[in-house]
Amino acid sequence: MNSAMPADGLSLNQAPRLSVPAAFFLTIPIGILVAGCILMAAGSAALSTPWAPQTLALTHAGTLGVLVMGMVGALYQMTPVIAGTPVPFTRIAHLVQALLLVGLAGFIWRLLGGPAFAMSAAILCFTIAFPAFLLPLGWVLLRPGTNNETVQGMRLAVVSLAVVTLIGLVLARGYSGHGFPENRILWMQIHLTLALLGWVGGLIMAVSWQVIPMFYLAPTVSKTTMRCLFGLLLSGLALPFIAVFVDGEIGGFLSPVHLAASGALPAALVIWLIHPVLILRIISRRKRKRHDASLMFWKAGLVNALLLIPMAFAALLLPDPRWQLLLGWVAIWGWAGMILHGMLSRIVPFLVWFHRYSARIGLELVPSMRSLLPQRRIHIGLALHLSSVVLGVAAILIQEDILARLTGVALVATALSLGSMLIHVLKRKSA
Amino acid sequence: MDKTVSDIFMVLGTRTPDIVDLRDLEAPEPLEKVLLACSQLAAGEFFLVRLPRIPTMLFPHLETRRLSWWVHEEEDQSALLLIRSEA
Repeated sequence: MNSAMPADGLSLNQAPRLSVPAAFFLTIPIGILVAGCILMAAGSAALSTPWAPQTLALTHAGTLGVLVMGMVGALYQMTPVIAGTPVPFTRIAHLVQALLLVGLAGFIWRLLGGPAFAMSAAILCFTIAFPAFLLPLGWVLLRPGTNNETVQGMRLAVVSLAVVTLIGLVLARGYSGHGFPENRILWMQIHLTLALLGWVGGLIMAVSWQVIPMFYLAPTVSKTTMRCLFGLLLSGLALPFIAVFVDGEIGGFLSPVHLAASGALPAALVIWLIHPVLILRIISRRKRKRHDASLMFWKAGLVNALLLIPMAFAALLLPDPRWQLLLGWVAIWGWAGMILHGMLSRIVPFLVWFHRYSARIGLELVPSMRSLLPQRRIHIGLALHLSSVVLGVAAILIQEDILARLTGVALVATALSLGSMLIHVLKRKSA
Repeated sequence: MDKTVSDIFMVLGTRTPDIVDLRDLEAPEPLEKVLLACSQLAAGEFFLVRLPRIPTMLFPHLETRRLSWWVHEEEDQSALLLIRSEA
């Protein structure tokens, strides 16, 4: 707005009820718990090759059970605030969540030795759940008039999720007795690229532009920088699709999979190099350097992100499968999972405070947001999360069964810590 | 800022209330301070505040409390918010 005008604000009934994001957030510890149990049961079998069914089960417990739950819950909450329009049909959010959970259970069951119909049921659940989430949200985000840089990033993330889902469903059919598609490895490469760099990376980047200045008093990123990063990211997400139209190797050495991975380089540079450096830089230039444990998650996650491009090159060029596993582990749990955990430590107290106390400010004494969640609890979560990341890296590199099982124990401990933290905050009553 | 506050908010007329600067506070402290200040406004009185950004989440509260408000976004994405208590 360039001139002073009465603001066209949100009405209270436009924002979703606290129960919508809270329900998604509360299932995140369950996803971590399942991942921990898979590791404790399978040991190093889940961390020795990226193609093992146990590894796929572990990976999707992390992506669908942890990252998707957190990001879908956050999008239901954030989209009306950022885009200025309520998400229609929010009531079906709980159905979306139930379908995602049942689908994930079927998916993991099948990969751990269950019957083929478990995967068919999972595919059915996901086929209903994702469109039921994506269509109303896409309608809000694609409306003309809502075009700030954060909305653009959210659009990119949501479109990426739609494509990731489509490819994922086709790939999953292979486990339901229908056979895998031709060029399975190429489609997996594109699935991974869009999931990690478009859906997860795009959303982390878009959200960081809002929350880092808002919650930690860091300087804002210039709009020109945001637009350049957005353009680079977009090109890196589109270029891998060229590989689909290539037959055989180019020049006798560049396979379609290598071509797809090379095409993703601009996106990888944005998400795993430029964005982390930029955000770490603005964090270091905060106006008021108040200690905040949730910010330490951001710092740790962003530093881990800087390891991912060298790991991705090693995974692509070296025959040792440990590099692929290392890339997946650090990307999902060391980068995205770390940032998500930190965001929960900050956003959940904020939402509880906003929904339950803010309306009474000035009318009676209300608790401060910081008093809702002691920093000590966040520090415990951080220590456990970091321990599990380090143990997982060691388990992958050394290939010791005991280390893999210990990583599982650390994941379970992290899940319990996060679960108790969420319950501690969410059970605070307004009365 | 080239324009004066009265140029931006013509509703002020010749009045020039002090600007309370809350840009150095992290969320949700600006929201908390504004609502606290609003609860002490007399009818017809103005409260002018500079915030780190357009306070989208504050607006529903101002609406609920039957306060009138005008907002102006600056080049640096900070916001000037003028609030008036109605009778």
